Amino acid sequence: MLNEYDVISKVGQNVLSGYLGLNVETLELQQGANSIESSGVGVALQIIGQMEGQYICTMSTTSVKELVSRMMGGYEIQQLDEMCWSAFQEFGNWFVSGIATELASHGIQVNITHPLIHEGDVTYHSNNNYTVVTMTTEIGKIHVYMQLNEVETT
Amino acid sequence: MAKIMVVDDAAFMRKMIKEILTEGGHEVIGEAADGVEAISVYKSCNPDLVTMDITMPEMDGIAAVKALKQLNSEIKVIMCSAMGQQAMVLDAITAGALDFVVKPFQKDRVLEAVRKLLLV
Repeated sequence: MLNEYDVISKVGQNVLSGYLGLNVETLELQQGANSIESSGVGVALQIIGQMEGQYICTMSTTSVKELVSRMMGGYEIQQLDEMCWSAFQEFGNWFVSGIATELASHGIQVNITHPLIHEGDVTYHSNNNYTVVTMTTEIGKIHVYMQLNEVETT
Repeated sequence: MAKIMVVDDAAFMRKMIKEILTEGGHEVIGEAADGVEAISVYKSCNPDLVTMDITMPEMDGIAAVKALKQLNSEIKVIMCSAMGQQAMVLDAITAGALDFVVKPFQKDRVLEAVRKLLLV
């Protein structure tokens, strides 16, 4: 049985702690919601294949600058430019690719789409509830929302 | 020192890989953002080795490796992808890649893969 909370927590630890050296504490699974509000920055990807769904990761602008700085080897980020957005997209790519690899270990083959970035006030609405996982780190809170659905076969 | 072409749709990743390779004493002589561009750039710069992403627009990395193998059956390609599941690695190797580096990677992993392929 696939536990989405465990998958997100494990991949989050791998990417944020294992690669970027952050101290990560994953908060308990939050009540699922079918709408998401973000006033900071987020990266969203679709998951397609034997299961389908969405992944959205949001955080504050300050947190993104810190995150991208770590990805760039400590280079101080004053302003988020095109290269920073490319790095943040790549962060989303790493995270969801890690989820895809975890799903493969459960015998579920999926692929992912190109990451999209949002900035400012955004509300996502969906028919299905998202699994909501918040990770606290020294660069701020990182919120991950994911929904995965079985693909109906005819 | 090798002359290397870097293929990745993410500008950040091309920059990161280029910095790693340059620090390792190699020269990046070509860059491409998708498989179609990779074939064109490969023909014009004829590199010793290629690093290739998989998920890209226009033509993905697996199809690009197959196309490049048609141009040069001895081509040396390292796949650099975040999609590290076994099926994807197998597809890449079957297409003709000689190594597979999973993103995010450490600098040494990339340089070691390049070093090994240059000995082949």
